Amino acid sequence: MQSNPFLRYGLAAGLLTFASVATASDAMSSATETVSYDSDKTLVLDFHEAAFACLDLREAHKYLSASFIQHDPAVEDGVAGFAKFHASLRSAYPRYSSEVRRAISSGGLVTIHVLQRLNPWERGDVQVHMYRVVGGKIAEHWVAGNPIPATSLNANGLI
Amino acid sequence: MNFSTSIRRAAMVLLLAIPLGSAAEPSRAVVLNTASEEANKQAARNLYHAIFTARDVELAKRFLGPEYIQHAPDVADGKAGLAIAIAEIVKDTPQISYEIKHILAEDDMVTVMAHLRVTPDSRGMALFNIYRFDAGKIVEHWETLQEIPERSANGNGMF
Repeated sequence: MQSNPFLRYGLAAGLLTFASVATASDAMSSATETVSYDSDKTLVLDFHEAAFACLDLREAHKYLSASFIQHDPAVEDGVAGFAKFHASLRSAYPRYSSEVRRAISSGGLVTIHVLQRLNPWERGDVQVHMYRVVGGKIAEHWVAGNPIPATSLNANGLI
Repeated sequence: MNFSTSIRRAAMVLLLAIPLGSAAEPSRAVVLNTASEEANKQAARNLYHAIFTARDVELAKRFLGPEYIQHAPDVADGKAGLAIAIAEIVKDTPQISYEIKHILAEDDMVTVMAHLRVTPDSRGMALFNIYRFDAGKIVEHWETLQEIPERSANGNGMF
């Protein structure tokens, strides 16, 4: 199993065409919106686009709760830990890329299934990230990922 | 995704939207899963039990659709591949156990996050499974798996 912290994060590159929905504060006055699911999913996908497609830490910060809890064992806790990790990622892997392939949202939790490549010539890694969204901010993050092996017992791909 | 599910969810939001938190926080709506989403979550739990505890492929097949598209690289495609994987559990890792930490459903998708231990005294692995359903049956499976390291950069654990 790899231990490189940069193998753990994915970014939302090309599949972020989800329509915007009402913000949480609009929800009570807008009877036709499906509130929790889609606004949480949109928030997480927007965060990933900012953080891992644009590599824009300042923009990504806007989505993080001040009490952000990190469960990725390779990244230090909190907003400061995320910032430190992000700075290392930007400097070490300027051609970093990833794609969000699917997103599932329910009850304040959002999972995204991500294909990540640190360098363009690599097979890359598959990851599932899970975020808890509280009050319109990302409050908690979990992840498990693994490298894509050279061979598979099926022909369906890992992601 | 299907249209009728969206309609039911929209109706449910109207019924269940209640404000939470203090007046200073934006209102949020509590959105419960639809009946079919709840049934899908239970089917995912049942499949875990059939594979890891009962180790009974015939039981597992009750929760699978006509096809079972496998993306895990160490498992061959289809129900025949699952049968081989279950036989390997019986032969190679008979002490394997799991604990489901999170489960969430949206439309035809379910994500499960679990702690998997090959032996009772091992630190174990963080496991995400993503299942796609058709007509209440599991028809496709993806997963990511990461060993829990001895030390973490944060004190929060992987779960």
